[in-house]
Amino acid sequence: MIEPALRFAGVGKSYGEARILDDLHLEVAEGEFFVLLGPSGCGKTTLLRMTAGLQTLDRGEIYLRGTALSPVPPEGRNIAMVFQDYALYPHMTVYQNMAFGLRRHARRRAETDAQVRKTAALLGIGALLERRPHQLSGGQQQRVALGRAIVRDPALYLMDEPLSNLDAQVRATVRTEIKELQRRLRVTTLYVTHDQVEAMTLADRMAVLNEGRVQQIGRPIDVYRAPANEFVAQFLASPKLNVFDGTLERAAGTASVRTAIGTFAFPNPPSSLGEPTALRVGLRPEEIKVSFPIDESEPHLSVRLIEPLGSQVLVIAERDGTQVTVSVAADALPAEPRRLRVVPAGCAVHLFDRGGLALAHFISA
Amino acid sequence: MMRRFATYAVLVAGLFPLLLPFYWMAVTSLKAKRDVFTATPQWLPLHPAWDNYPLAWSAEPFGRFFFNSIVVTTLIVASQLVLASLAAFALARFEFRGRRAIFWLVVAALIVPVQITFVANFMTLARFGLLNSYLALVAPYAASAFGTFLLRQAFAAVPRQLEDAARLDGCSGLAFLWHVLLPLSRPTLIAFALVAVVAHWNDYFWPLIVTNNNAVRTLPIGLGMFVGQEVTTDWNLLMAASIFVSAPMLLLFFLMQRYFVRARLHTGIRG
Ligand SMILES: Nc1ncnc2c1ncn2[C@@H]1O[C@H](COP(=O)(O)OP(=O)(O)O)[C@@H](O)[C@H]1O
Ligand SMILES: [Mg+2]
Repeated sequence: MIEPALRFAGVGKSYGEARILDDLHLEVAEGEFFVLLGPSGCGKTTLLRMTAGLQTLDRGEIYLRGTALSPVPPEGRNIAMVFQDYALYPHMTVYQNMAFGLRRHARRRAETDAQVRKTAALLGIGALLERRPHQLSGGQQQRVALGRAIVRDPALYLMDEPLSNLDAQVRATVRTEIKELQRRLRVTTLYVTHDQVEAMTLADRMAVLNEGRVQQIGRPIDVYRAPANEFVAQFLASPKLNVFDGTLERAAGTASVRTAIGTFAFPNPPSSLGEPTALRVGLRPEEIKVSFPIDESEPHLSVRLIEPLGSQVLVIAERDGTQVTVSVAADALPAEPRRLRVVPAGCAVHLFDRGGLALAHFISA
Repeated sequence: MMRRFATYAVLVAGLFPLLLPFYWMAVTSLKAKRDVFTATPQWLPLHPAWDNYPLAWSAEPFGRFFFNSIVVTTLIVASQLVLASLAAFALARFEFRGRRAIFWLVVAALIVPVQITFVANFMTLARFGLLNSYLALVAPYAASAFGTFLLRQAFAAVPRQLEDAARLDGCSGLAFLWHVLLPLSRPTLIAFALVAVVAHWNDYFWPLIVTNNNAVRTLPIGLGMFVGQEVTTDWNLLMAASIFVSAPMLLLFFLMQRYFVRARLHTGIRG
């Protein structure tokens, strides 16, 4: 077996009674961009700080290229971290910020200088080297923070929600830059965030974390298509997952799922599914097929609210206390729609048991 | 515009009573002895008696006193800065048992008037035969609760992420104090050092108690000797001496004031 670049083996951490992380297992391959996605307070920062050596583990071990990290002090781990608030030294220039770690690690002045200038050029901050952090915009500060990590040429980057303090425009730009940079440098990266868009766009593979436990690991597209449980499905839905109670009805070789907003034909139900009677049925707003009937006699829901998002529009409709949120292309939306019908064919349906565990995912026929 | 004018008017009016004693001191220092007390105040030194300065300087061994004051003030302030930095570092950034208790002791020490410690300190120094020494002048003031408190507050305000970043950069412990905490607390350090320099340069009571020998006496004692020993005090000479005793402090304020304004701009506005 090839030893992964980074391996978490049964890592646990508690603060007093509170178990922050519990028996965590993860493997990150060499050169991989791995994103850890989870709500705030789920222990993401704690995990990164433990990896960097800024905090001790209560249980388990972390291995970097096969070496157990526990006995190694932070400065000996060859790991660089990008912090949420950048954590640049306010009293140092950009140049000094980037050179500080190299100098402390006893690199020669000439070598440091070459390294800093090369990295600054790579990040497009060569003209800012003599500025101080307070003279920079948020995006520039974040680039310097990245530069301080890259300049050390470490075995691993840790990034703690590096985009969360930037405004939307800059965030998208820097996000792309981070991705390109990682592609270019091919340094193993562990990136944590609570933003599912960042996870989807950046990750080679991702893990979803909740209440101290890994909920699912996989490529973003696989996690998106087949969420392991209701929490993951909910977390990857925007703005929210529609969840209904449902029943499975089987008939010679086929099956269908009946819910308050319609009945979805289930073409090839796996035999492993068994005969669950009570189900929870999840549908993402962008994965529901709808039409907007004129005729009042067709079964329909009444449109309550319309939220234009640009090319997409969110439509919230309701019938008998059941609400559904769908996302439709703006140009497919009639003027002032009053009625919305869920088209039962072609919807992506996610089935969960009572406890929220995923049973099956299918496209309705 | 009117408001600005009014502000300046008030400031200038307030300045007047502050500056008047200094002005009177300067004028008197240039008067002949018989012109010091006159029926109508003489606001200008019509016949400036420049001789007063060399006379005052040699009336007591002021050269020696100057040297002593510089040595004692420097030792006190240097020691206070070092000890306060180290104590504040521990109190602000380390977890250990009794940390809160020690911090509250420091705060409590702020409230105790320094005179209360005089008797005990005097007895201790006398017992060890250390009276009439630089050590007697410096040791009781070697640590400062005020400085410790100020620096602790400044150090505690530095975010944890900065400490984390420094640790990954291979900079922890005293290196972190030296390379990050102290530079970031420069305005606090300078403000405290300034206050401490002035307080100990001007200190009269403690040096009076522990010295009776010109070899270790400081400037304020020298001034006091002017007043006490003769039947009539030479006020013009005393004023001349006061001028050269306070001149270094005035100079310090002029120099540091500019620095202060810069420091305030640096941390406050663009922070
Ligand atoms: N030093 C600490 N002492 C006690 N609880 C802590 C400490 N640090 C973090 N926590 C708690 O641990 C949980 C996880 O924190 P954190 O790792 O910062 O989460 P995240 O980065 O995912 O938002 C939070 O509930 C937080 O309150
Ligand atoms: Mg966090």
